[in-house]
Amino acid sequence: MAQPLKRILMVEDEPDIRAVALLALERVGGFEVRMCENGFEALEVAPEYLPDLFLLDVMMPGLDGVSTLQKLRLLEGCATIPAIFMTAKVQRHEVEGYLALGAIGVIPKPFNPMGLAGDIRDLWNHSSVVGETR
Amino acid sequence: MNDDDLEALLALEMKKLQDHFLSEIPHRRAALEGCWNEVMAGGPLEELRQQVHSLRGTGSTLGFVRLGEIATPLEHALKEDVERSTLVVLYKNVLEELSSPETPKSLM
Repeated sequence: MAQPLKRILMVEDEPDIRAVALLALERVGGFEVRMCENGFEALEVAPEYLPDLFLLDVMMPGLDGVSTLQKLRLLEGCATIPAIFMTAKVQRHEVEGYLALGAIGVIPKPFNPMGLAGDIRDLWNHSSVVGETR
Repeated sequence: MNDDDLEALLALEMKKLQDHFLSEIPHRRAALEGCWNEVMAGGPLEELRQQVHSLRGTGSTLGFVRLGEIATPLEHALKEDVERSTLVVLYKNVLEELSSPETPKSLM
């Protein structure tokens, strides 16, 4: 991406994982983060917050990560915001499925708190075309 | 704040999260047992699935590596059509792990 990554909207239903991710993204990574507890909250927040990047947990009750992204895409200003999924399901065909949905990449769970921000920056910097694999 | 201070602060914050998870394990164990008993009585699987997914995901993220490893096969089994006897073994493994949880690995 041409512009630097600053603002991230993250959706994660587990409180403890949100807490670790906040430390990893804000303190370690220096990003500005808006944390959402579920997909519905993200749909409310996104059009106003207009982040540089969506970071989405996949398996969530109610609205899963994939459905959340599909609904986010329909909102004003959110159609082309890059997205990264976070999931333990990272077999090749699963990752290809996420990329086919337009994600710029997948972060495997459990993530390394000290390395998360760097991994996200790498995906960001290498995705000149949305959906391109590295 | 210099890098050493930041690292010390992070280490402290991560440790706090791990301690908090540890302190909640008895509660999580009881909740898991409750869900399991309901499923055994013919109730729906969804709540149990959610509990196991949460244990596996949160535990492994917080450095409880063994818990993550032991909960993973149960999580998978709950999505598939497996024999009840297999399910019982996997469930008991998780329950046992929750009775004597490991010391988590450092997140730093």
